[in-house]
Amino acid sequence: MFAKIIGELCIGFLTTLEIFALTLVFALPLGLVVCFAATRKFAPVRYLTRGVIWIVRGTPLMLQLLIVCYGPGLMGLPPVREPMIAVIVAFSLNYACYFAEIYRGGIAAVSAGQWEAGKALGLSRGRIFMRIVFPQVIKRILPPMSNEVITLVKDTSLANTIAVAEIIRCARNLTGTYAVDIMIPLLYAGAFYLVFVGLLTVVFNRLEKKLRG
Amino acid sequence: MAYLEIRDFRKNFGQCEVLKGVSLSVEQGEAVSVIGSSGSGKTTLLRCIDFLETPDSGEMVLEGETLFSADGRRARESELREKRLNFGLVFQSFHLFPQYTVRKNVTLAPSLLLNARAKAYGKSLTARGVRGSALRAAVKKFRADGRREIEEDAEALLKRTELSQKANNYPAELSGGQQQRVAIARALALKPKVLLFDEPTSALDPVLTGEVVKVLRALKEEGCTMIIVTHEMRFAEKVSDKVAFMADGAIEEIGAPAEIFGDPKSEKLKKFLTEPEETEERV
Repeated sequence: MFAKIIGELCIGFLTTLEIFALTLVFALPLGLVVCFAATRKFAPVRYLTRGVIWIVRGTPLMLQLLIVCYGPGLMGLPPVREPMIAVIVAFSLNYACYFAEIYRGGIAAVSAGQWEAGKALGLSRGRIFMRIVFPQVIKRILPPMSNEVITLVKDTSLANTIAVAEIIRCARNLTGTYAVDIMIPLLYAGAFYLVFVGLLTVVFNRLEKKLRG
Repeated sequence: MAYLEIRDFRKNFGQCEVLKGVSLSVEQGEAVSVIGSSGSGKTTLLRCIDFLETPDSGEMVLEGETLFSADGRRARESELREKRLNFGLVFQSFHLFPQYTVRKNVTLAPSLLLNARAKAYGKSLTARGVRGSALRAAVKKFRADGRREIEEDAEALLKRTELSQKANNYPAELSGGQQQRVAIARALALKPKVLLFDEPTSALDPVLTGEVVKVLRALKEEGCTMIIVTHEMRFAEKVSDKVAFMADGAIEEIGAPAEIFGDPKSEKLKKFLTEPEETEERV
């Protein structure tokens, strides 16, 4: 029975990993876009973006998840058939806003002299950003980023509120299937999170050391 | 007409008039030192020459070509980049790229510009009807030749600035004097027509200043055209062909070092030379 429980939890954890990975794939670049929009000189874009960041950071992710999942259907638009899509959309948007603020801090911390040195060498703003500024930003934002990424691992459990079979939902279902005490599969699920976060911590520590040179 | 002619540069920052009509002419191979107390507009003048600031009025001509003319038209960013390449600017606080080695600091900009040139070259070949593998081979060769030239230039520059041993080190591992020499090599890598130095030794102690001054002297002997904003009076006196003294946003007095230091005419210059400048540390 132990093996069966672990087996099913593994399947659930694959879904958890899927949410985790897809959210990062979309939110990391989207965060940069949001960051640029939030620091535009053109005021309407800047204020609009800052408003969006305020709303997204100011309301619970669970509420956003429910709105993305059921909102379109309730407003007479085509309903979201696949809850996983709603999860990825809500998570990516939510995390992009947090990442945007981290990027903003990181970019502001790079001295203006770096931009000027690039300019004086005849480079375009895009090149200066990609080749000179951004590598320095990555080094600076790694610690806050690792924090957010670890939070994301655990936030994936919110997906179970809209019936996505991630690991917590699997664990709860197991209670019915095998008539075991509810605590047992949930504790096992907890161990999955712990191990994965432990691995991420090691990876981030290595990365930080490597970037320090 | 002189090699580089600056005519009546004026620049305001809000209410503050920083440049009040500065004109300066520099001959090819000439080293001009700009001296004066803090806030006299020396750095702003350099930044205007390198298009990091746009003068409100005035004109600049290099080799007979008008690079800048204040006609109210905003120059396109790409145009400015092109024009900036005529100048190499060395900053007071170096501004090296910390994540790259000394060699990469020197080769980065030329390599990126090579990419752009290779693309343009490919387009010009396409326009002439070159297609397919012939086109790819030609562009590849163009890139390879360019790369080799950049590498060779970098080695030569590092040798000239006595940094060959440090080519694979990171800026944080170097002394201030070494860092400033990397910055000089980096500026030279783009083969600018005029070198601009913004207080290149102000962040250095006397020993390290010596290293950098040595490089500047060598550049002067090789015939580089240079404008050097400096507080290093001995250097200004010994190396430069002309010294310009700036006060309150204007060139108060300009002449050969012997005249400026030996026979100052204006009251402001006399005062500047006799009274050591109030430094910020004393406040």
